[in-house]
Amino acid sequence: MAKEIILLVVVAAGSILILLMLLAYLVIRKVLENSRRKQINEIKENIAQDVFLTLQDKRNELVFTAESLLEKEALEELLTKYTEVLEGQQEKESLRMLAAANLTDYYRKNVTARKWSTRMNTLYHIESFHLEMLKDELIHLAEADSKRSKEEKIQIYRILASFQYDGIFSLINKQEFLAEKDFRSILTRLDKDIFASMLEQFDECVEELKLAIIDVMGVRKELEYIQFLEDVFNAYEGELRLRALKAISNIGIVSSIDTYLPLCQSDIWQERMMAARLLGFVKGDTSLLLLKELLHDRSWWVRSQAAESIMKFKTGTIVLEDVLRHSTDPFARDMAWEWINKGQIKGAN
Amino acid sequence: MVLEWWTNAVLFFGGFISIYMVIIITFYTAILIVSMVQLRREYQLNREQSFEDIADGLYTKPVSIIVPAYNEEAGIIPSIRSLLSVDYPQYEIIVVNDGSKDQTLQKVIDYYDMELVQKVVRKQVETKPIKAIYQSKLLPRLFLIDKDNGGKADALNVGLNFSNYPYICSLDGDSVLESDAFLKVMKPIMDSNEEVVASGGSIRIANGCKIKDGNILEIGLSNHPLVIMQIIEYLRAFLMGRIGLSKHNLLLIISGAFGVFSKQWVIKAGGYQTDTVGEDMELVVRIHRILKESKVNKRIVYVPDPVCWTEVPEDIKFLRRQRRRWHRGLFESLWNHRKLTFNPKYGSIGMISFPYFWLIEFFGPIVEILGYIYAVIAIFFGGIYLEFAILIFLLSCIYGSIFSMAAVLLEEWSLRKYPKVTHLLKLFFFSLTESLWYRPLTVFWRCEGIFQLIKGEKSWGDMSRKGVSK
Repeated sequence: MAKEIILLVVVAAGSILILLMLLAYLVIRKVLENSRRKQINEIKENIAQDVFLTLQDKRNELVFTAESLLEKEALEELLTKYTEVLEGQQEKESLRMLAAANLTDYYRKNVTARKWSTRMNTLYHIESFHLEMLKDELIHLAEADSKRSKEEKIQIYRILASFQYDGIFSLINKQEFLAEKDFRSILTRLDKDIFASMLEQFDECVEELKLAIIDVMGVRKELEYIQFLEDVFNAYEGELRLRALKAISNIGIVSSIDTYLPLCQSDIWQERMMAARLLGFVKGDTSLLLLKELLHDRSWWVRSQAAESIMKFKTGTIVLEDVLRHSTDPFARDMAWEWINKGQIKGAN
Repeated sequence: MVLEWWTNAVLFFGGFISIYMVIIITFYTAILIVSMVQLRREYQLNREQSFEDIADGLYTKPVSIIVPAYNEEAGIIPSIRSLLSVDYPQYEIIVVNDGSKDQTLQKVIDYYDMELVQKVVRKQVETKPIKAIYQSKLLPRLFLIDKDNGGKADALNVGLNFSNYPYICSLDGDSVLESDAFLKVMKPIMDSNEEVVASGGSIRIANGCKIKDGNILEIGLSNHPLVIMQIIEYLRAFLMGRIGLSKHNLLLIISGAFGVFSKQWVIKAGGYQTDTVGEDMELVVRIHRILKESKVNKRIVYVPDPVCWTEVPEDIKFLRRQRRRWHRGLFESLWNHRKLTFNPKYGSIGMISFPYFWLIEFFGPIVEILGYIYAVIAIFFGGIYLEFAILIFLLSCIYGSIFSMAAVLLEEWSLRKYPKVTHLLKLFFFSLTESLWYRPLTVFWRCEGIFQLIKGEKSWGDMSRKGVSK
């Protein structure tokens, strides 16, 4: 028993020591951090005027240079705040120049820092300040087969996309760790020309990249994509075909409804729903007739979409009231009733 | 002869308690290390920027926020106001008035100019009948449903049936969300390409903070000892426990106060269960169970950063009720799904989570109470037993404080922190005293919960709220 007690005393003493060390660490950290924060805030207060003037001044002349580390951090914080609020092209350009002059070397060093969070923060800042002179470093980082984390690589691709780097396609295609949403976030940063060059290589793309390209077309809503999307709809099966439909309905242009009529009889409810949506863009008695049929569909989503499309017609409310009164299908009546009443509150959904 | 037998029994029991302590300390240390590695990696990461891409709204998943309200007239308006300022591209707010006896319904109707609407509600989960549905004339995405009283779970189910969007978020009627909390809690869901089916955020304690119009103005530390102890408890539970458990998909609790679920899976699980006092834990366990049974590779995660501020009881009476209820809820969830325990078919949930919750969380208080009894007996025996008991007690004080301070350290590495050195010292001092008063109290209350279970009690007990927002 005595032995156990000695052991316990030793353990207790050791634990007290750990506890005190922990407390000391916490307190010292807090003191240091608070004083650092205070210093940065003071610097920010001092330089805010200068920075603001530099951004406003149309002479493109730098009134201010950040020398010390704290000054750089203070400047970084100020500029980050400005990137969120500045609107004018001129001001944005001045902000870029100010950041480029003061922070480029600092970021060049930090982009290979030991700490992951420092590297990530640096990458975020490079993008928001649009520091194009770091492009070569980033290309080098992207191509080097390093042990960078997935998040870092994705962020590097995004930045290169926003710099309109023309080698982006060969960088990202066939990167297995990239998911559809990663591709999407890269593609949305590309301008029209580089994006168009991607379309030429559509068949070589991996499935996720194809889906992302289609989705981005739907978001950009350019008329010229309709032909391409219709080709995809005709040539592909499954998810790609469905996404092409979705993109077409987003753009809202139906060149010939005949292409899509067979969809009304599809076994896949998503396709019937898209048909109901597309029919809403083609005003005519045939469309209305088909939509009334789809209002009696067995899927809630198809019925809801059909009712929404019917409401786009001038006579929509009358058609739905007719269904409400005469249809024998309680589900169709419920849906008609809901959409008639939906009109009461503007902007709902 | 009798004395010898007695001595052996005391020795054996002392040994049992020591081993139990060693197991607990080992388990917590392991969890602590996992959490530390995780948080340290993201230390000082500029999170605002990493959410920019989601915030632009093209591909965010819309969320239906369900706010069950039962007699919440004090807090409901500020709570809705904080929800309306949430930074998220597409969401709707569904307030479910669960047959309140106060002015909750009328207050919301008047304040937001609610108007009766006709709407078809798909009944995917059975609920008590709906009396009326209102929509705000000023803010079309704000709905109010009036229904017969049926308890929190039933109110959540009504919201679930009514919701238009594929993700639902349950939120207590008297808590305040930070404006970017949704972006953060939804990020793992979107990043994982829907592999994550539920995601929970941190709950922090609002008592002592300055809150106005549903926004946190200043983080402060309450002076109330009970509140400080609860703060320490919450920090430990969230930052230490849940990060560690979440990393290995072992999470069995997503706090009812703030969590997002994929609606599809909640419906597959049959919605919230109405006959338990711990419907939040029960749902998570059931979803885990269904996931394992249908052999799909999905996860339930905890995100340390998104913060929901909530009010905790300052009165010992309400705290006692809460703890007794929690312990009953814990038991009901574990008991309803007892066949998962040590069942290799359910993987790590059956082999690690369930044993952990049974042995440490549920039976822990009983062992601890036996420990206190042991200490009292040891005093009568005197001598070596007394020294042994004192040392064990001292050790438990210290190891408790070490874990508490480690949790404070983790908090320092995260973004939401107490700003002053005096706050740290206060937390340190109170964590030292925990084993002297707070711990025995909570242990006793939880044992009372077990006792209530044996008696077959079912009630929730009321909690009067004064409203967190000014």
